[in-house]
Amino acid sequence: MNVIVCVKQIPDPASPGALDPSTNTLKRDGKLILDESDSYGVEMALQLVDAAGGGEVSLISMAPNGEVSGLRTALAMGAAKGILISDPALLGSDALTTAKVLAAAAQRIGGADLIIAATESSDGYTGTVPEQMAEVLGMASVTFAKKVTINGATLEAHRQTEDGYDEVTCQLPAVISVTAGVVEPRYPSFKGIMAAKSKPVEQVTAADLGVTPVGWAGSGQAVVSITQAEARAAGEVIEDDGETFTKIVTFLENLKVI
Amino acid sequence: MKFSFSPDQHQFATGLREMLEREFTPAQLRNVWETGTGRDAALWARLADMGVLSMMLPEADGGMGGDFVDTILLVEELGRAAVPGPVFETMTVGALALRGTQWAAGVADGSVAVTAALMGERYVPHANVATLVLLADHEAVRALKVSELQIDHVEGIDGGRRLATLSGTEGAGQFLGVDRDEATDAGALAAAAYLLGLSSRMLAIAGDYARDRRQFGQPIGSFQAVKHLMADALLKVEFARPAVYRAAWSHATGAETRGRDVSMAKALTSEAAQKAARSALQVHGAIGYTWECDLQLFMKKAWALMPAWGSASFHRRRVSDSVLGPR
Repeated sequence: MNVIVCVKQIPDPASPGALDPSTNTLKRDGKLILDESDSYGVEMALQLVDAAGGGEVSLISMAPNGEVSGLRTALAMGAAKGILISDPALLGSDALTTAKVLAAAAQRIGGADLIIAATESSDGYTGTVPEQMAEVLGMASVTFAKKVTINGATLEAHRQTEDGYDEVTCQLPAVISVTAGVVEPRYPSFKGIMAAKSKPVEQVTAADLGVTPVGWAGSGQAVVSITQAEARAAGEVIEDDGETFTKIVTFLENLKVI
Repeated sequence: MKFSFSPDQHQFATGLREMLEREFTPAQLRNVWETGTGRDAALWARLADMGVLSMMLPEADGGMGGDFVDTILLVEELGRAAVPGPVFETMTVGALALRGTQWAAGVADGSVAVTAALMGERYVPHANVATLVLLADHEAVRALKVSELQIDHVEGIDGGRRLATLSGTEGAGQFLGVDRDEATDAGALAAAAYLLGLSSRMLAIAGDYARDRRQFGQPIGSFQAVKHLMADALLKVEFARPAVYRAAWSHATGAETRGRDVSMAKALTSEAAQKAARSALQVHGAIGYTWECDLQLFMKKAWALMPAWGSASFHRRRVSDSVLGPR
């Protein structure tokens, strides 16, 4: 079984991010790392390939400046190879263009039985690319998968909902988005890190993939304005009159925590 | 010549630090102490999986084929997290002494934990969790299976390094191909690196406390007396650091000055750890003594390791002998 994982390389969340005032988007000119939410997809792919008893995990990533450090992290976890799409013409691409580029890269790899992505990136939060990819590739799409099993040519998934989960099935090949916490990502071993250096990462441009970049001008989406996030409210103080627990229970019920 | 660590060496250390920050919190360390196990089996398996335990084993034994320069930053990170059990003993002294033996593969896969008492110690650390204990026989080193010995536990202050007396060691075990000096230097150097990590962590804990704790309407860290206390301790720790790295290089390259350099490293780190522990405790005040305060876990570990593998005065004497000749 061959699995492709879409991985995004993002600015390290540990260092404070900055917005580019001219585009209202995140500056991505520094060192990029593997989006943590994608490490779950990589881990799931490795586990599914292991369970299938054969095949390999490939990675596709679109990033500026030929950045591969995040890809190397995923390769160190055990993925076999990767394609990096790095092209200045792709700067400012909207989600749909990104989906087209990733879909074309998936085809360049030779397709796969399954394509895995995170539900959304930790730096952009559009949350639409996996579904758009599925449409471009004409594959089934399952979103918010929190448990995935492969049964022959059928994929069975628990799809996270607000109250619990739905059991859904679809035929392979498919594109799925997986939630964080779906599996526990492994830490790359030292041997994995060393091996990752010699694993192939093909760097291509939009033209190599036959995709026409639209850039900032042709982008179907724009960040119109940005505002400061609201400061956290002070919270509600409840004086204990001996019956406070009922208020706490109601509060938690409203949050759908219990 | 390049006097710095390679990107790989830094990357391995950073990876280990990130893993330990997430997977081995002070709460988990406290749990090891409170349950009396003296080691965390799940963490040990993770360290084996990552390749930490096998860094110094030859590739033929399933190891990474690294030397002490490749290993020293890893040991420092293990110290920063006060990882319990005979971890630095296994990955340095154990890996050196057991290379090419039937136990080497077990060191790599985590099934063989190795402790050592090569300096005539009365109380052997980690015997309750170790598979093998290495003992000195004149200039030779032999490995004994702990399961074939009688262990009598002795109460110590470090819950991650439990002590015992061993009987039934006479004439038992298998002689190994490492000489006692090399193994002892490895243990002292690893203890020095571990102490370096511990010291940095104690200063970090004290720094957090000094920024957080307020008196007279301001954080106590803003008072000059507290600043000086912390700065003096940091100075000791940072002056010890290059000595540790130098000793790792001397050990890795088989330099003639290995013994002197290792002794310098252990003397300086033992003194630095003493200063760091004392200052961190002073910054905390009485709360630093309490069981609930994380500081005590690192402080007691430091107190236990300062005299282990030769105290500061023992190693100062060794440095002096190497310069002036034996007295």
